[in-house]
Amino acid sequence: MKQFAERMGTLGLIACGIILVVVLGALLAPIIAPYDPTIGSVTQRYQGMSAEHWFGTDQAGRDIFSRLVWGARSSLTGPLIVVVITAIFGTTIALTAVWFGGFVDSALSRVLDLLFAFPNLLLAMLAIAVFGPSLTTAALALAVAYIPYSARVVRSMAMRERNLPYIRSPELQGIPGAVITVRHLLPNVAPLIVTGATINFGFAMIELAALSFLGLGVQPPEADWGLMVSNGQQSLLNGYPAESVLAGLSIVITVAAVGYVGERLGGRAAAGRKA
Amino acid sequence: MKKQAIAIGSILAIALTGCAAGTSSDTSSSIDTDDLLTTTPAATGELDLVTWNLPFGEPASIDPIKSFNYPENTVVANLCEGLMQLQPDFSIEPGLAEKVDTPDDLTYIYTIRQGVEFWDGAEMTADDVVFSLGRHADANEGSYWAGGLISNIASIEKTDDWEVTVTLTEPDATFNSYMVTPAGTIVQQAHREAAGDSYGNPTGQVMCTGPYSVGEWDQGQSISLIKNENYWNTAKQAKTTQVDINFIVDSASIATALDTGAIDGSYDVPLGALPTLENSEAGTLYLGNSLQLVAIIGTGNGAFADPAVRQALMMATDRDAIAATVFEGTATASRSLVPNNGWAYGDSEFTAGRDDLAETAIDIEGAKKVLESATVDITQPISIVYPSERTYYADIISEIANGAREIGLTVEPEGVPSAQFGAFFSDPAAREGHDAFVTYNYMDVPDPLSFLRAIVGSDGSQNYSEYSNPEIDSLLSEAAAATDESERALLVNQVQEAAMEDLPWIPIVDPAVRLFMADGVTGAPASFVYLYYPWAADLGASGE
Repeated sequence: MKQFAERMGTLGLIACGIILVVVLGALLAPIIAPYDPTIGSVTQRYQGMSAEHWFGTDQAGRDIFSRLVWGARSSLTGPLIVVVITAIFGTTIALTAVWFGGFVDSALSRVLDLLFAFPNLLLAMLAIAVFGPSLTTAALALAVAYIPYSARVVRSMAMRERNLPYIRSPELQGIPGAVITVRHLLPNVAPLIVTGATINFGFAMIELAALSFLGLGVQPPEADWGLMVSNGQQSLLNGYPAESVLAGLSIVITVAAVGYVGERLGGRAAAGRKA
Repeated sequence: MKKQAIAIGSILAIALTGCAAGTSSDTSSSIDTDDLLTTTPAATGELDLVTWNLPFGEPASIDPIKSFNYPENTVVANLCEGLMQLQPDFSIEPGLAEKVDTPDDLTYIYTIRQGVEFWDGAEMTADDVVFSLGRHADANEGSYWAGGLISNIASIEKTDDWEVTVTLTEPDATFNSYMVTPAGTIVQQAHREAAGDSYGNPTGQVMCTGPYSVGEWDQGQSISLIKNENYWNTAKQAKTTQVDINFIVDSASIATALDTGAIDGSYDVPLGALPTLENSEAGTLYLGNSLQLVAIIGTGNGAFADPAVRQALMMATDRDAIAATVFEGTATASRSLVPNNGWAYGDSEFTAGRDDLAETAIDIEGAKKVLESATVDITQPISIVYPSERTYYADIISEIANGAREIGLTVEPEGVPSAQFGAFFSDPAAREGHDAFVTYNYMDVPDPLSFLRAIVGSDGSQNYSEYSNPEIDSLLSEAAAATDESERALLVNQVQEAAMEDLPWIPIVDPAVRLFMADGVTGAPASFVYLYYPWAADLGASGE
């Protein structure tokens, strides 16, 4: 723990604290949020900050604090879906390509190149056009778009490891490739996968927020930070900035925290390898 | 490290200070309909250029027979003219017809105005009139106005050099009023035939007689209207040489453009732009008499298919609050499916008929009682579809959901992209699986008979739930045949009363026309005539 704290540094620990608060907020939303995030009355719109409504109310009279707390759920769930799928498929593709090499490696690399050609958001929009707007559709489409990034990074690392004695030796002993890959290769590239996932988490959060902002992700009246930025933009111009600003800040702070932790983890992983 | 902490602290402080600024609650109330305007102050001078905006976007076509919505009609109204013309006070005056005679309730004899020239200098003839009216019945032309009104036409004949006679199959007292719309708009036959498939688009354009012709049409950006120096109606000659109409749809951009003077004016100012424009020093926000209605349309599916559920929902919904807040006080709660003052005849009868209808005040206990007579499963959620880009609909549905919750119903908003939402009005398959959808509707002509007929008539063009009431159908036919306007108004009142019982649509609010014009520009009508009246011709200098 002490070693972790030293490697994270003060800012890293603050970032971890922020992530912890956001995750706890998302998990405990039903307990923490004082109001239903989807219910409000226009007669209560644009209430200022008060003991009753800590961050005021939005244009539909909904409690902004409750929407922020509940919004953390979809805002974290979406990127989580993206990084989990990305990590699983990206790693599998990368390790398969590295292990077999030759034609398999070339074929998989070309497929990844093809996926690279599509901008992430465009791919997500295409999927949404076909399957309809929802968080799940947006997250799955983004996951597909992120797989090449993850696969390439893992492949380059695994390629180096592939020819090292701890991999070659069991291979010469006739141990099946799948076993070597899972037991030996995967653990040695795992820190890189975790680092990549944390960095991707931040990117995915921003892009999913952008999709929700465009009305293609989480749908009203559900709470989501990107959606809140979108909903509040007119209120912002009309002198009621709370909804957009606070939701925007939540995205920025969370992404920065996750990114910083990811960066520190990356440094730690590199340090571990050197050791 | 300290610098980083200070920076983060500063950002948070600025953000929270900004948030704290929004501390006022909305206390505005609905506008008094007596305060709504018909016109804005008349122009006292001429202008070289006025920049306008279409907040609903670019017209898909300027062919009159394909003009059936805000963008197209707002432009075409300045280019092409009808046999009759709607006036800002909702009266109907002769247009390209000098007069109309109705020897019986099936025959309309139009005396065509002589000396009217198209933009190319060719004189308009009775042949052009017969051709133009006949286009609606030609399946190859694809008129959006084909159907009810047009299918009731038995013949269109040139009965003299300057006379065209239209004979109907069944009496329809609203027929002549529709000659103010594209159903009665005249285009040049020769140009139409020469243009082929490009007719109405930026290449083929149109050839009409209006006070403006088409200048440059920069697709996706703007369309320019150029003053017709040879306009036949010298009393209504355009006061502005060129009107550039932009196609900005983003609410915030519109607010900024109007507030900074980048654009001189716009009808249908977005609701989100109102707080900015109400206090703008760049111009004035005018609220005008309207023929518009915001309503919830039933599809005939789910719990919403039960009239008792619809009636209870209407009673439980705080429509006054919606008018005061979502519409920033620029609307009034709807008392009827017919927008307030939406009539050009029978004022005393229609006013009395409206006064007899239930008040708009919220009535939870009454709604609960009505709901007891529902025969459907009221535990099933009611989905109301809206175009997700227009967030004010979500606020309206949210308020409906609040009332619904009070009486034990569940209402859920369902946002769909605008492109998909449009199909709800034209494709029954799109409505399947949905219980209701929102509409920002309007009366084509100031005649409650035509509007109610479209909504509650068995074969009405806006009857989306296959609603059928033989008593209403009979009253509609009787009213259409009534030549006495008072008698017709009384019959229409009976239709209105029955319609408000069954409520195939739930009326929510009657929005006022929202018109903004920059200082120095004036004259545009404030009432809801800009779809069928050459509003741009009235634009001019205010003399300030």
